[in-house]
Amino acid sequence: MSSDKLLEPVTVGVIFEPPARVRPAWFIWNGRRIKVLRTNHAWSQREGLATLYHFSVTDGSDTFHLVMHSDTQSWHLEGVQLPT
Amino acid sequence: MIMHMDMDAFFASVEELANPAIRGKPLVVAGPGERSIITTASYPARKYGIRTGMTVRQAKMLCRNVLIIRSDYRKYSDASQRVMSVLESFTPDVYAASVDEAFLDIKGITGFFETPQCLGMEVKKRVKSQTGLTCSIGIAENRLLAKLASGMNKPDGLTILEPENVRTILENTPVERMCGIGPVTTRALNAMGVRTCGQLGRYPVDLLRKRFGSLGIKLSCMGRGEDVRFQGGDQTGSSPAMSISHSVTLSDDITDRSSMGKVLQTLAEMVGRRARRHNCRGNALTLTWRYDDFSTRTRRATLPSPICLTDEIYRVSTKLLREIEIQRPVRLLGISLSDLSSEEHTASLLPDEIRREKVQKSLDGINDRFGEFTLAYGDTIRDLRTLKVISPSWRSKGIKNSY
Repeated sequence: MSSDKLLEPVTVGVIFEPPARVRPAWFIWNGRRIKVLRTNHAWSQREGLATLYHFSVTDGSDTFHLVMHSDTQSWHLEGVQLPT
Repeated sequence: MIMHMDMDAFFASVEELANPAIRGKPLVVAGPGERSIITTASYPARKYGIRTGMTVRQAKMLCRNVLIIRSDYRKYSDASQRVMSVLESFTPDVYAASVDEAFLDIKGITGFFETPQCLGMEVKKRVKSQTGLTCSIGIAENRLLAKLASGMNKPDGLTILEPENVRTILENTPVERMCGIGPVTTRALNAMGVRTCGQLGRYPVDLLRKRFGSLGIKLSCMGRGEDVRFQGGDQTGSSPAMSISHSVTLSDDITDRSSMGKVLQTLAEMVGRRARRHNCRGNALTLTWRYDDFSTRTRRATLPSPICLTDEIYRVSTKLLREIEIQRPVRLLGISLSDLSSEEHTASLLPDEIRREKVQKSLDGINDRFGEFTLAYGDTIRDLRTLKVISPSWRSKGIKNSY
C-alpha cells in the first residue's frame, strides 16, 4: 500500500441528497474522470468558522481523500492510496 | 452503577473505515517518521507483539509488513464526537475520559431496560450502527471496576461485574490489570510477593503505607475493588478541571535551547488557547522533557498570580528551561498548566495587563474566525506540521480533570 499526500484543486461532480447531504459522484484528476464507486467514510472538521467536509472514496481499486471547503465551496484532492 | 465504554483499537478502526482495503491487516497509527510513537496498533498487529508506545522502528522489527498510517486527528476527533453523541443520547451523565473512552452514570436509566446487559447491548448496537465502530463495555458498581470489566473481553465485549462476584474475580486478577497500577508499582508489589488484587487487598495496610506512602492506602482499597479516587465526587468523574497539557515528540532529538524555545512557543499557544477557551487560568506550570533514552523529567513553577496568556506561559516555560541542565538530547517537550482557577475570580485591574489581554483577545478572535495558527508567532510556523498529532488523552470536549 503506497500513500501520496497531495493538495490539488479538483473538479467534482456532486449528488445532493435529502436531507441536505452531499455525495461525490465523480472527479477529474490528472485529466482523467474518475467515477466514485463508494464513499467509505465521511467526516468534518472546523477551521475557524468554516467547515471542511472530508470524503474517503474509492473507484474500486484506489482510495481517494476529497475535501470540500464550506466557505469557498471548493474541492481539493488531499491524498490517494494505491494498492501495491 | 457505572458503565465504562472503551473503543476497540480506535484510531486503527477509524482508518479501516476510511480505507476498507487495509481492514484485517497488521497496521499501526503513528506520527510522522521512524521515531514516532505508535498511538494505536490494530488487533492483527498486536498478534506480532506490537503495542502502543513503541516506536515505528520497533514495530517494523516485529512485523516487516506492518502498515504505518500517519495519524489524522481530524478523523478521530469527528469519530469521537459522534461516539460521545451516541452515549449522550442515553444519559447526560457522560464523562469522556479520553478520545476513545467514557464513563456513564447509568443508575438513572437501568430501569428503562430489562437488565444492565440489555442496556450494554443497546449502547454497543447504537455505537456500531451510527459510527461503524465497535466498542467494549464494562458495567460495575464503580469506575475502577467498570474499567477493569471493559478490558476483560476485548474487542467488542460486554462484561458485567456483579457485586457478589467482585471478590472472586479480583482474587485472581493480576495487579497490573487494575487502572492506576503501572509497571513500576507492579514490579514493587511483585517484589513484595503481591501478584493479584486479592493478595493486594489482604496485604497489611501499614506495610503498604510504609513502602508507598499515601498511595499504599489507595492500593489496599484498589485491591478490594474500592474506588477511593472518586469518593465524595460525581461518579462519572466530571469534577472541575485540574490541568491543561500539550506535548510533542520532536522529529529529531535536539540539544540547543533556542530550538526548544521555538517548540515551547507553539505549545504555549496551544495550552493558552484551551485555557482561554474554558475561561480558566493556571496557578502552576510544569515543563516536561524526555531524553533520547526515554527517561522523563519535569520541573514545576508555582506562579505568583494565575496565567493564561500565550506570552505569559511561554515566558514561564522558557524560564524553567533556562534553569534546567540538559544532560542528553531531548526527544519530547511538554507544557502543563495546573491548579486551574476560574477567570472571573482573577480579573486584572492593571492597565498594562488589560492591554495585553485585549491584544490576545484580538489574536484569538482572528484564529477563531479563520482557524488555529492563522495568526501565530513567526518562530512557530514551521513547527506546526509536526505538532498536528492527536494525543490519546485528547478528549472531544473540555479539559483534563483529576482522573
